[in-house]
Amino acid sequence: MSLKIAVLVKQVPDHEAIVQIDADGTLDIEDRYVCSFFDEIAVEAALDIRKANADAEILALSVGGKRSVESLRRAMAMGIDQVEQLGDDSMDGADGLAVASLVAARLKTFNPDLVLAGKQAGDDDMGAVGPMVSGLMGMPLVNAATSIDVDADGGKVRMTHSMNAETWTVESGFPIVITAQKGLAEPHVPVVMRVMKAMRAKITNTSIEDLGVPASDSTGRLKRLGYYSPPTRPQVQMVSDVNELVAVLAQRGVI
Amino acid sequence: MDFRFSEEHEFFRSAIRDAVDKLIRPKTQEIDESNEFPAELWKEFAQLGYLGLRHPEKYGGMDADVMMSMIFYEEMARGSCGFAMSVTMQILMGTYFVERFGSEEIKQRVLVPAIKGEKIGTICFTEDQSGSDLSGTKTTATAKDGGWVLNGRKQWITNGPICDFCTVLAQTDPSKGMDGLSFFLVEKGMDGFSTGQDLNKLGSRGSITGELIFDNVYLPDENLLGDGPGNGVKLATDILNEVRVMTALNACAIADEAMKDARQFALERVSFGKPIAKYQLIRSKFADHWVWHEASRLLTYKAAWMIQEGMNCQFECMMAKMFATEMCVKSVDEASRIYGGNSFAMEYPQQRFLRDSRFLLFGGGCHEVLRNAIGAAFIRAGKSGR
Repeated sequence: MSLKIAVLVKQVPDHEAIVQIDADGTLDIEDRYVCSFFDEIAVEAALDIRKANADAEILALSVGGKRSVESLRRAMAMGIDQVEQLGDDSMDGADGLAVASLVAARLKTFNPDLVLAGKQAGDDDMGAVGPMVSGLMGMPLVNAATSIDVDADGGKVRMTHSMNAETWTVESGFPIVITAQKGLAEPHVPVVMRVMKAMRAKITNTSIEDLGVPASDSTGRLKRLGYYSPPTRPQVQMVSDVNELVAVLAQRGVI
Repeated sequence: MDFRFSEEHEFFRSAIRDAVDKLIRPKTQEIDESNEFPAELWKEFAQLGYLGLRHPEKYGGMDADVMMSMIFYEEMARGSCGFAMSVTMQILMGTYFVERFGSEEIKQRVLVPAIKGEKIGTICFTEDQSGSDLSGTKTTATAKDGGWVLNGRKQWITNGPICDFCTVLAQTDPSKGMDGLSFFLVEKGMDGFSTGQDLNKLGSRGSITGELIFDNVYLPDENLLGDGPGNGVKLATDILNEVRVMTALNACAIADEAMKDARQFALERVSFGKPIAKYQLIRSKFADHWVWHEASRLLTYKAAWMIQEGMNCQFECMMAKMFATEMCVKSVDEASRIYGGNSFAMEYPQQRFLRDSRFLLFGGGCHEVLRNAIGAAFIRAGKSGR
């Protein structure tokens, strides 16, 4: 069986980027973006599967404008040959369901056996797109997988995933959506030849119209009203024993 | 006029940054403390293809343009000044004349393994009485039996003690002074070629630096690199432009790393009841750095662009090197003052930035000599400096 794998990637602020909340409640993010941590793991997992299934076809998808192209170039540099940008700048910041609607529309023509995504994005941590794609496509979902063992000829895949400090082993047929947890794969540093190939590649774009997604689905339903910093943590006072703790609590009128 | 990098170059920078973050930065302190050549890291960078960055594809290189090389130099220095020096010596100075003038046989024997990381190369200018002043070169190459006999000693050679081959500047006709200088390829194992003292340097540690000795080394004529003898200085100018811009970008990266580290410290260090980042005199240090750093990068990338466009930019490259490395010393000094006493502790990175910043002052020409050259050009030709 020749496997068809789709990988979903997103560009997010680098964890070292300086992020500030302005006085008007908007985010000011340093212009330093990277492919989301868990998405890179998903890309590497797809490449690992292809190592054992040489005829596997992998398509990386990203929704949005210029930044989505950067994440696709990253996927190309890592080793994926087919990449596709879905939509345009109007999708930047769109909610999970709007993004999943575009992805699902494209997957209906690609017909993947396996959809891989990061378990959550490195910016909003919503963890929404993978599960929503699963729902829209009517595919089973395994979240936060830490291992994937594909039996392409047998038409099944075995996975482990962790939940509530327990590790589960599950098995499924195809197609299936799997989201990647840390430990599933170790993203490699791309060789410069592939970096340069990705750098110069023309990235295919499919518009919202061509995907046939109506405005009612591609327009986000969630609206961000603003950002605010969490309250500053009160100063911590260390005490050496219970007697001192009781004394301090009494002094402060707590007891 | 557009001051932005292209999307492609931005992507290339992000890829190098990733390699530096994952492969070099976890080893930065270890390289500095041990002062040993990081052979495993060298292999990793060779396998990734970076040692062939600017060489033709037919020899296993990547054919990168000048601007990509510059981005590479800047990002590498964020990781480790010493390792960046070893790598840039290999991909720029160490192999430049071999690729440009070596016979096909020499390229197969020397360049191809250098790109694979199997052979280490270097270039030799400096002697005990010459460096910025190339006219003081005392190493000689004398014509004999259809070849050349090389005699002399070279000092401060990056990668020198571990090199497999080197490009050596030598005097072929003392009566012609600077017009008698030429470049020669010397390979490990040749009779009379040996290494001298390794230097225990203050900064840029991990790049092995030392003395090379040439005692009646016989070289076949094909090891004369260039179109005949006597054009060494002209050829040196071609590469010195790029060396100077590379050094300037190393300086920009080190200053930026030092100040980013100091910024985090200033946000966390509380003095008199508030973070020191709230004090105006501390803020002024960040302001000065930002201005100096921005000016340095603009001057440096303009010089890089002029190299890429094939323009005459000898003085712009000198200016960039001088301004950016002086900026680096000043910014790192201010960063250390923000850090206070902790900047003097080996447990924190500021002391390394202080040591590395000093190293950059000297390579590519000391500033007394560069100032003299820039000033003379200004007097000669007016404001353009040409």
